[in-house]
Amino acid sequence: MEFEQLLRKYLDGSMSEGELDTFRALLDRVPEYRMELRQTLEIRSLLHDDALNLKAPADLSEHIRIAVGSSFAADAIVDQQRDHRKPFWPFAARISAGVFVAACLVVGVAFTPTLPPLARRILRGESAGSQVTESGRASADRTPAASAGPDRHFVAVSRSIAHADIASALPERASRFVDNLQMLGHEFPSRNIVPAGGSDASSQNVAENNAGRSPSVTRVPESLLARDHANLFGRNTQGSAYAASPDPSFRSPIVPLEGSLPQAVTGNDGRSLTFGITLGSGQVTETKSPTALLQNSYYFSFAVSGSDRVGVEMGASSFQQVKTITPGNSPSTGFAKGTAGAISDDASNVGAGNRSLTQPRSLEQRSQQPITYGAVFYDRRLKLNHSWDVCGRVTVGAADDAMIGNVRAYAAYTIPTTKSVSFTFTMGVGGGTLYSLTPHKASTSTSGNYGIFYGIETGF
Amino acid sequence: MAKPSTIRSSELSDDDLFCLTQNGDTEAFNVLFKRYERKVFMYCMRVLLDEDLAHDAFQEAFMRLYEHRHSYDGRNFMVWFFTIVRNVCLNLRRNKKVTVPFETSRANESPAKIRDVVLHEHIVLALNQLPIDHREALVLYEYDGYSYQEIADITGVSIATVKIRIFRARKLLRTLLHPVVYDNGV
Repeated sequence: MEFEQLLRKYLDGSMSEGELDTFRALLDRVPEYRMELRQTLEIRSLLHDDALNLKAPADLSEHIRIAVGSSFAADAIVDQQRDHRKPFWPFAARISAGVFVAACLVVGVAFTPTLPPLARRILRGESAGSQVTESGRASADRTPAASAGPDRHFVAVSRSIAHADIASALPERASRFVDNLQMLGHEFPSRNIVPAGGSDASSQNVAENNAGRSPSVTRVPESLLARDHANLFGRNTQGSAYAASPDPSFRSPIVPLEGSLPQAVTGNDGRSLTFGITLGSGQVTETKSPTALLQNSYYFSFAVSGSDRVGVEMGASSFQQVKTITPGNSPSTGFAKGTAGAISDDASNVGAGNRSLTQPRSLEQRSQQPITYGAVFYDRRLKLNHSWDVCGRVTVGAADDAMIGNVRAYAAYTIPTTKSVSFTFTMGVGGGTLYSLTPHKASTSTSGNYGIFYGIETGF
Repeated sequence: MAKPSTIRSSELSDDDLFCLTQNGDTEAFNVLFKRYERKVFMYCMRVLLDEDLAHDAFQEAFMRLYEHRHSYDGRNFMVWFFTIVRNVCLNLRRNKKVTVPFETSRANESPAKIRDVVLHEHIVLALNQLPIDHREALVLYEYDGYSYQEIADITGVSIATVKIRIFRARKLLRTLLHPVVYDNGV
């Protein structure tokens, strides 16, 4: 066994001095080992002789060389023609179309008119009290205030109806309680919110119209009633004790009309939209030669909470690589590898026909590969003060024949312009990976990139 | 004086040459073809042990080099190409029963030539006795001159396995060829 190992090492030429001494000692001592070594060397020599006689027929070899070489040459010509042909759906057009669609979505969602309260209630499935509201609205629409804006007017009239209902339907004790509250300084909304041109008389008319209505409107959920109670009593500091344990008799006739509930400040139920543009530049990892990365992206997002956003992002990246081929070195690989790039001799080698045989020459190959991508992202924002935020974003999406993942950390400085619109400048660093799924390639490849990103975004 | 392009191509590595070939440089392909022509042919001949089949495999291997050019990842052309050659040979061997032909007419050949031919026929027969993986490793090592590491990369096994296969193949070949070698006075 020891001899076999030594023989293997001897044939491989990987024997150390000590092992060679041991091997020689074994050969001297055991004649069978000497015979085995000799036969092995003879067989090896025989195989090498055999190899010398193996040669491909010249005609076959020439035929294959010309056929395959011509195929490569023709293929390169086709590739060059394909590169020069204007693509049906050019890169710039894809970017423009994506921006246009994103802009339309942003504008469409941001400026969608506020749903009227009635539609909101229908969407919520609240049929209770609709008669009161409709009748109240019908009455209100007859007033000059109807032209002052349907939403505000409707809210005001609804509140007046609520007050009228309370005044007419409460027992006497409750009416006195309401009067007491008013004496203590509590102001019911309806008395002041009735729009210009209207009058308490209109409220009174509405109240009178609804006075004879049965309290069948108590089909409203208990939770809403409780909220209305809180609205009614909680605002009075001196009446807070009542709010804690309201008399049940107060509760049944109170109609939780839309106007008596807290209203969202914005017409979009607090939706917040952000549209941003990001530019980036960086470097691609896993490449031997420098590969520049240029990236631009457009995104819009919804705020799902005060500090979280989700959104969609689309953009484009361009990988530009300068590959230098020097004799004896393998060319670098990267995103741009495999693309048809112009091969040109280095300027220093032009006209260098009389160089010596040993002088290395280098070739420079420039290539670039643009990709477009679409992705979804999650964005987390940590507020430092009223202007500065620190944010993190994770993006996952698809690109041309590839999957992409991206992580970005950036600082954001926000400048509010109006009550609901602000501009934010961002700058940060990030890194990403691209998992190539090129169909005509047998294998897939991954690569990473990193860079600095800076951008601007505006929100509604 | 040699042409500058010839100087350039002959000094480039296989990977560089194939990159140039992919960009339509026929001269680069010619250099690459010359480097691999004999190695591929020897591999096909001694793994398939059938001349016609080996010729088919030789041609098929270079055609597939062109067809699969996009799957080349830019590194280690030799391993990538020999993986193609190996697959071609294994496919042909699987699809066609291999027979080992003998030369029959040697009337006009010299005694030395006849002795060589007989020896080589016995080598073919002996190689045919070896397990295919042992034979493949031996051919890549002894005929094509590849290192253990390169053979391990091509065949997809460990270096230790390659070493064991080659050693066992040598041992078995020695046993099979011993009487032939000494009867022919080698």
